[in-house]
Amino acid sequence: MQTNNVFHAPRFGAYFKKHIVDNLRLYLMSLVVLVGVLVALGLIGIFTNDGENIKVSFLLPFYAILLFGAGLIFTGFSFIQLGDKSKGIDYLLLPASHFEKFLTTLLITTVGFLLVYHIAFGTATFIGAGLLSLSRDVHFIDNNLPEGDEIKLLYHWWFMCQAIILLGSAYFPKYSIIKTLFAVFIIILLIGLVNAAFMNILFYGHLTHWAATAPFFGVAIADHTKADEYHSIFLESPLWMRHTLYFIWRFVLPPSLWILAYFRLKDKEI
Amino acid sequence: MITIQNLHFHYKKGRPLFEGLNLELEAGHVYGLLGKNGAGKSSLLMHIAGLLFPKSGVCTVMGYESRLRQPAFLNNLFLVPEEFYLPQVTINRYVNTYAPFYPNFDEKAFQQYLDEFKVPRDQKLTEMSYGQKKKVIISFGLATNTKCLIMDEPTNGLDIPSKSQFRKVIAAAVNEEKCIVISTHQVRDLDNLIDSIVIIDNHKIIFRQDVETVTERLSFRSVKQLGEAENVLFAESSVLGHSIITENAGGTPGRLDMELLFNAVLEPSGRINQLF
Repeated sequence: MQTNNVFHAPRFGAYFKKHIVDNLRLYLMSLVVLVGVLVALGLIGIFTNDGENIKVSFLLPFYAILLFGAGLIFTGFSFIQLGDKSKGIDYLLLPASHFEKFLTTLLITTVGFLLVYHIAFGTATFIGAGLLSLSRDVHFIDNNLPEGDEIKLLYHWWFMCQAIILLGSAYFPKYSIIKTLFAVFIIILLIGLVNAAFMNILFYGHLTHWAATAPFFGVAIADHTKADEYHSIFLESPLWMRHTLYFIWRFVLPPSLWILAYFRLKDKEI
Repeated sequence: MITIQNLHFHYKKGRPLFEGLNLELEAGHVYGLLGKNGAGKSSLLMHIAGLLFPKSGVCTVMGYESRLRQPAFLNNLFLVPEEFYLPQVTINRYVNTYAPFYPNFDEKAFQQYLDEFKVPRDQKLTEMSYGQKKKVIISFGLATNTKCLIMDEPTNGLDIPSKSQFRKVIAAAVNEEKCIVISTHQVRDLDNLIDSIVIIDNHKIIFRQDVETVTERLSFRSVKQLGEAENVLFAESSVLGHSIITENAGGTPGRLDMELLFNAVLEPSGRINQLF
């Protein structure tokens, strides 16, 4: 029988199982640490709050910070084995396709993480609320929940950051988070400088400051129409362009970065 | 089975490791890949396994281009690297998670190899010495029954009795469908094990012959005085006398001194190569 060299469900299942078995201890320890940190942070915050009732919205900053912190650190370790020669050989020569290996990593760092994170957060909230009502007879009340759009925005940012870190992990298996953040900083700086250079050429002598430009959004120019007053006008890029860019940022860029990470994995050598 | 055509490779520009290297290896043989330190033995094995990509040229195994690392290629190739990784699990769990990827894995044979190496099955891999772990990965590699088995310095870290056990298990595993390539710089470890010799030097394969052809054409012996022998092609002196290579006038295959052959092939005069 001809072997499917891209995706074969039983082989993918075997690889997924192997991945979980190999990392089970690490994942369980991480889960315990995550619940512990959430409970500790929650309790510190709650006990420094004298109110009779605690609003659920009080938990949101913790929720967001740990969602990003834990999620991105976890994603940063995605391809750590490729930073070690012997582990890299074991990983690359295991008879599963690059797609199956990548898909396993992607599912575990997105669906798997989000699932476990919410279980951990729910558990921590339950433990924290229990301890609180036992010690101070203080209760959580359900109001001031964030709007759906705010949560959506949070997740768009999270997926964007996850995709960047995953790609970074494929490029820099060792110290991936630090190296990726540095690379992102350099890229943003370069985009800013190139944009500023073009804007200075296009609006020569009209910019309020040589760096008064926001890449993709607009440029601040001095208004000389009234000689006795000084005004600056922010020229925005067209709305359709900003909407298109926002759409790309949310829905095109994360999958594109995942695809790049997949091809980087395919091209990986020891 | 393994075809390498016009392979060019370098780690750093201006310092080539392979320049137009060509090699053809067939099933049913145990090849000994020999070379000096830094000659590129491990890098060549990495190319065969698809862990390094040629700068130009092609490396195919069983018709698959190695660099693509397709599952149909990987489940018929096993590499025992010099520096290997085994997860922190028991042997049984290792087998349960890795064996499903190798369709021809033979559980019974794996146990036999472990027994031959005297490795207890119930021991945790973390509790084992380097040599014991090496025996486990060699046993697993043999039990996968892949058509292509590559070993990089497999006898490093094995004690003297284990080296003869190694020769025994390899000899038992050879068959007409299997191509085994063993790279080493400890040539004596491969005595009576390999049937073909491949020597790599100066960015190329400089020697590739069957052991039988070598012993038919060359005679390896020791003499007290160099004058005792005529037409000496190569000689090495030691405390006990001289080890020499002469042409095998009778053509009857004799014993092979692989270390002597290796040193003779690397000699700048190239006299040995001219005979093949």
